[in-house]
Amino acid sequence: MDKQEQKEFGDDSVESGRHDDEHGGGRDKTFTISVNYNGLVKPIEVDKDETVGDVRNKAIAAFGITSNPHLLGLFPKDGPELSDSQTVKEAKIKKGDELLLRPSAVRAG
Amino acid sequence: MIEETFEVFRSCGDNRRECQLYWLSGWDDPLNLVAVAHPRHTSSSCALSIESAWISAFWSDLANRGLGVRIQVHTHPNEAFHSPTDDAYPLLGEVGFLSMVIPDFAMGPVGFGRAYLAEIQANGRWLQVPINERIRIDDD
Repeated sequence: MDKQEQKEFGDDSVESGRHDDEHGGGRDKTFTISVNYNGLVKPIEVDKDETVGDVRNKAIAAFGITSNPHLLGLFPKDGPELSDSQTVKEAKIKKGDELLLRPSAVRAG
Repeated sequence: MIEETFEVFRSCGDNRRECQLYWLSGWDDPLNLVAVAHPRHTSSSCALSIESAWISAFWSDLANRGLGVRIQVHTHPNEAFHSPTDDAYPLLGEVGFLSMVIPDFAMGPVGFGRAYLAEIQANGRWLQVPINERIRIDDD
């Protein structure tokens, strides 16, 4: 099984052994991910050393969102909201990943 | 879609719980509403909360289907209005997003006679707007 196949099947063993460029390190300090907002998907270029908050702000700008940006967080496709203070590297965001720009909570009453 | 909306509200809410739905349209024809989505939620007679994992799965489903949410619709036990919670926790917070509230847990006549429609303004705040100026209902 090559590295790409292992990544697609979520093999954690690859995480420790992967090359830097798979998560934007080494020679690829910047790389592209995609962000889904309300069913629209756009590419966003990220730097492994910038924070999730920085990426969130880039995504908000890319989608032209000008009101209530504080309602939105970045989420992996399956998992809890990413912390704004984490770096891209710390959040294990990898080249080609898709993140969700969505409300942190939806309530009514 | 309107009849489906009332059917879901009545069956899910059972005249004692709030319920919420989303009206969807295609990104290639945003003004033409084509589908209703019913989120997984918990609710009581005066509050509801959408399940977080459902929202994530929903976002992916929307992308796969080429759809987006245009309007959120939910019920109130009595009068229709936009509460502080409704203001603070919408599905979308962008300018022009619409939120409709249906009174009496949607147990009254099918239609929007006593409904309340709010829209997010450029300053980020909600403002009540006339339903017939934002939503056109075609017979077909």
